[in-house]
Amino acid sequence: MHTARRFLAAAGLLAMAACAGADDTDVVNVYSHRHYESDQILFDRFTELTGIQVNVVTASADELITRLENEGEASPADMLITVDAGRLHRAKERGLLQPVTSATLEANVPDHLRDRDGQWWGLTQRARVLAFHRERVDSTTLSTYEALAEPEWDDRVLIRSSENVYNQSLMASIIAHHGEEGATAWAEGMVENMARQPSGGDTDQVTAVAAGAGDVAVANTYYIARLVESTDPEEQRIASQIGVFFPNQGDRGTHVNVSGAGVTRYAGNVDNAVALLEFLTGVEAQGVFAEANQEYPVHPDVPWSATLQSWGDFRADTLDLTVLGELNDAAVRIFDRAGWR
Amino acid sequence: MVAEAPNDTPSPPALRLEDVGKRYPGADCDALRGVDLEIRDRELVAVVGQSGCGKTTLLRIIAGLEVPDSGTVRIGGEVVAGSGVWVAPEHRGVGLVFQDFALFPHLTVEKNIAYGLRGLPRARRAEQTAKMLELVELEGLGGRYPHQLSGGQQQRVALARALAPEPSVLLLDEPFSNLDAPLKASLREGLTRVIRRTGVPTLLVVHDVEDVVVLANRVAVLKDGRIVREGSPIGLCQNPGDPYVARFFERLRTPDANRFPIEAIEKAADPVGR
Amino acid sequence: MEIVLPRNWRLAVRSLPWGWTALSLVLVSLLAIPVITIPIGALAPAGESWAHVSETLLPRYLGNTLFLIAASGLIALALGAGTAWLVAMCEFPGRRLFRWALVLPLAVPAYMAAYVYAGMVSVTGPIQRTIRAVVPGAGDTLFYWNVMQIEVVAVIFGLVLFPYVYLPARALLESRAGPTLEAARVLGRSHASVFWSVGLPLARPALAGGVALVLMEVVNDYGAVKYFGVPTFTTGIFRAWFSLGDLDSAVRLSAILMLVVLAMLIVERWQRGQARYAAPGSPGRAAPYPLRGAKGLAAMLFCLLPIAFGFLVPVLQLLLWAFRTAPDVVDGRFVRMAANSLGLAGLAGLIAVAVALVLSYTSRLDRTDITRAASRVALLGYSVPGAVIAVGVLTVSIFLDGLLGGGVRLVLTGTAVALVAAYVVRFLAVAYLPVEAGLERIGTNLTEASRMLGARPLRTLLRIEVPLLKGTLVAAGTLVVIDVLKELPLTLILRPFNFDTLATRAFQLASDEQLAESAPAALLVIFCATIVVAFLHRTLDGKPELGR
Repeated sequence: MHTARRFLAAAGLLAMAACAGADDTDVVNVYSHRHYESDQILFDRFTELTGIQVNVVTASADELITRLENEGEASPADMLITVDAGRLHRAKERGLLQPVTSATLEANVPDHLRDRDGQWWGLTQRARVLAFHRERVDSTTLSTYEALAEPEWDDRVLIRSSENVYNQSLMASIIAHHGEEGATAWAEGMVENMARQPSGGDTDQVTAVAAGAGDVAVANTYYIARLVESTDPEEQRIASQIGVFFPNQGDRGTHVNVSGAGVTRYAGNVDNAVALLEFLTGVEAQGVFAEANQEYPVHPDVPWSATLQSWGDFRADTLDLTVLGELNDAAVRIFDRAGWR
Repeated sequence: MVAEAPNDTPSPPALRLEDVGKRYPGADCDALRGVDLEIRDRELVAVVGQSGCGKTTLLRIIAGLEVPDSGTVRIGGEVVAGSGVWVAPEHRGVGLVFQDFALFPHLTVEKNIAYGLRGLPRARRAEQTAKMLELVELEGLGGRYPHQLSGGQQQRVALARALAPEPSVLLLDEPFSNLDAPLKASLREGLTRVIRRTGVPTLLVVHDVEDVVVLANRVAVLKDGRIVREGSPIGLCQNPGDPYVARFFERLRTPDANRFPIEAIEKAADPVGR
Repeated sequence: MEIVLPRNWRLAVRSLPWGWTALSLVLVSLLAIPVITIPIGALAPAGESWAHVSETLLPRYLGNTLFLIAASGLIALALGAGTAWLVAMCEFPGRRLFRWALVLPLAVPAYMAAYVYAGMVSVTGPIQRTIRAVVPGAGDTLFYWNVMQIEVVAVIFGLVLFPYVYLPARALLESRAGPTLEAARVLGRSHASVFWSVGLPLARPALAGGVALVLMEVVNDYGAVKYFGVPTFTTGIFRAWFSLGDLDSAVRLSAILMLVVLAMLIVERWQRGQARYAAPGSPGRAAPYPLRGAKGLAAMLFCLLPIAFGFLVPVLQLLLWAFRTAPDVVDGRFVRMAANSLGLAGLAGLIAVAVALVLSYTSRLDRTDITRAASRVALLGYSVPGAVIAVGVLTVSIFLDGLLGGGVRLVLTGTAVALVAAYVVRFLAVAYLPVEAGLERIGTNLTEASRMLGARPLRTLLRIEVPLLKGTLVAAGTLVVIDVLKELPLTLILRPFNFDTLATRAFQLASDEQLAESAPAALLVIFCATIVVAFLHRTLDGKPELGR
């Protein structure tokens, strides 16, 4: 019996330790898919400025959305952060977010990078670009995502698995522009042209291009920028062999996605959550996102990092980001049918 | 407690089985059928039968390790199984010596014997343990572990352990089956002496009548789950009345079976020495 | 199976140990509800999504899963049985060291090994760096070797999981098989022939049990197969549920996975049943075969290879990375993360063993089919991917919170209590199987003897079974601890705010493609697990339990 009591005491202690701070009034509870070191720095800075404690659980957006749904009204979360607009839209569709009106937010985040109803707000942008081998590929032969599915790229394309949200959103944008049939044909062409079965992350695709596994990879900008900015000479050497190409400049523009956040429907600390949103979209935080994580800031006044600037300005696809969420299901199915792992 | 019970009302038998039946799930015949059996105070009864005839089931039902399908079991007049009553084995006050002794391997001889004496104060417990060790003539071995003892010594520990809580009935399951011939003889003697000294009513099951014929007041022969004959060893020996029963006693009757001459049985007519 | 109602069923019912039966049924319900809430949805007619999943994905999931089961199982079997035989039956240089070092790969989570190997052979990995630095003129050659293949995943699983086979096989050969094997030798059989004709059949139940554990770990892996792009049932469940939002298909896939695991549990049990005939318990180690010269060298190599690739290489690589990144990454949080990891794992281990003991003990006291079936149901959690269990536990804990009347505040949900409960649901089988086998080994006689001496079941359990099974119980708990230390998806979903374990920390950095930065946390996971594994080995190696 003694032992049993000791178990309970230990369990209780652990539970209390785990909920530390949950009872304080000045908190904001965040479910986040962003697990970058820079985010923690920003949260600490926010606490320093406002005295509001930021509590975080990180996991993948899909899992966090499922957790929010299950918790319903009782959810302790005040804010959901994802790395993809499609997931934000899904959360909105399922009634997990609430609209927010804030002049500061409206000033910080341009119209096309936020939800029409103010249910979610972009924090950073990332472009899905082509990373090509400088010697083996003449950059003038690159043009569009669509062109990568042409026979001339047979066995030369590297792209990660369709499990990945960035690819799902890219596919959603292709569906939006070409319809399901066009998108299916594209997926089949891409699968045909893959230099290997999809595996690894975006960085793996880029380094594999350098290593000669293929000639062109599809990757998010910040992964390539991190290689360029790396302090490791070997990684710099890889980066030096890679060129960055923004596709579809002649038509709709390069596919851009946002990492963003929304206040949850049953948030208990709405004001704190809004304050955090305002802080994260503000000039100081946006600068950290840009410099520490090589993402494109949403705030129009914040400069890009030196590496991103060196790649130059580009035309971004202005497709309404909610479409990415609406077409996510269709995208996954097309991947499956095309045999894109 | 009434100090002077009237002598004319007979006290209830120590153990009484009425119409006990048992069939194991999935088996195609009964393990026990309509078994009636009674053991009176200071009596030693042997149940004899071939293996598989239900002997062990009988013991286990009395001990409370199996549930009878029908009939009642009474210990000291109280129903312990049957008529909707069930007394768990730990509350029956029955001692059982297992065929393989089932000594607790992680406890010393002393602790094995004292295991059933939990309710007693420490001093009483030590006293009773010492008494039991003396009874089975194992003084000085109390600190040993079971695996450090010989087979015969292990059995004596098992006996002492079963007797220590002063059970109202003692059950012995094939006490001689795991021992070789010379050990058997000395054990038989020892057992007789111990039971004589404690006077505990005892039921033992065996598959060989030779082992018990000199000990038992009564022998019951079990066949296919029924008691087919019951009586004094000498009576059964002289008048088996059934070929199955006769086979058990056959060896005792052959002239050259000088190990157990008939006179020995006659001499043993009152074995527990009343 | 025919159910025969006892004729005197009233008495039969009275004779049941009601307290125990009730306790164990409550425990089983608590354990099974999170798992069962999900399949209830499977009763609904298949939707259009399922047609999509079964047409486009199912054949590939099935093919990959079966391949991994077959290949990893065979590799683990070959490594486990081979090393166990060498260590138990032969004498060669380094045998005593190998004897315990062969357990070490158990400390390395499969997903970490996968990340490490992929990182090592990549262009920026140490192999290519070294070549570029050493070979003159290789300065700018970058070459590419695609390790992210299903065959490599199978090898990695085999390398880090084979100790599950090695441990029981070695224990059996060392403790029980001696005389039988010596008899075979005396009869003039060659070394190889004794191995094939006597050694393997003798060890079969131990091998089957070990392989069953390996395969269950394989079918439930998520990290390694995801990173290597090898979709299996587990990936499929995640995709169907979390990406397509299609609970229905996720449930159907889970149900198939449950069937696979159930089949493995049945085979394991059946093999254990055979053990009574296969190993008659003749004690003692056989006189060893001396292996000298080339043979001794070959034996050393055979033992060294799995240790090297299952433990040393990943650890050294992580050390190299950690050396570079530790100054930036390691801070005060590490102590707390390690405490979280060990605290959770220890608590889950203790509770899992206690629950396993209650359940298996009850099914001995009360030998009705219901109790037995119930304890089997409680093991199903092992067949369900961590994330699915997490959501099941979430649903149940929210429901319980509602009952507790906390209103809008959640008492259980999002606390360590729910997390520990989920670990117990997930890993109960790991503790239950050895505890049940241990109880079986003791037999029922001692229990009955104790009860005949007036001890109630609880006292009997505490005075007889628990002391006799001490080693088994510690080993069972330790296995759970190792599993929890390595566990990932469940922890990610259920953990409280600001709560990191070493595994979640390592995973987050690694999944953000910062392998080198993830190394310190990964190393600490392996370090903690190594200590636990060493402890497990010492426990198993202690005096053979009395009463065997």
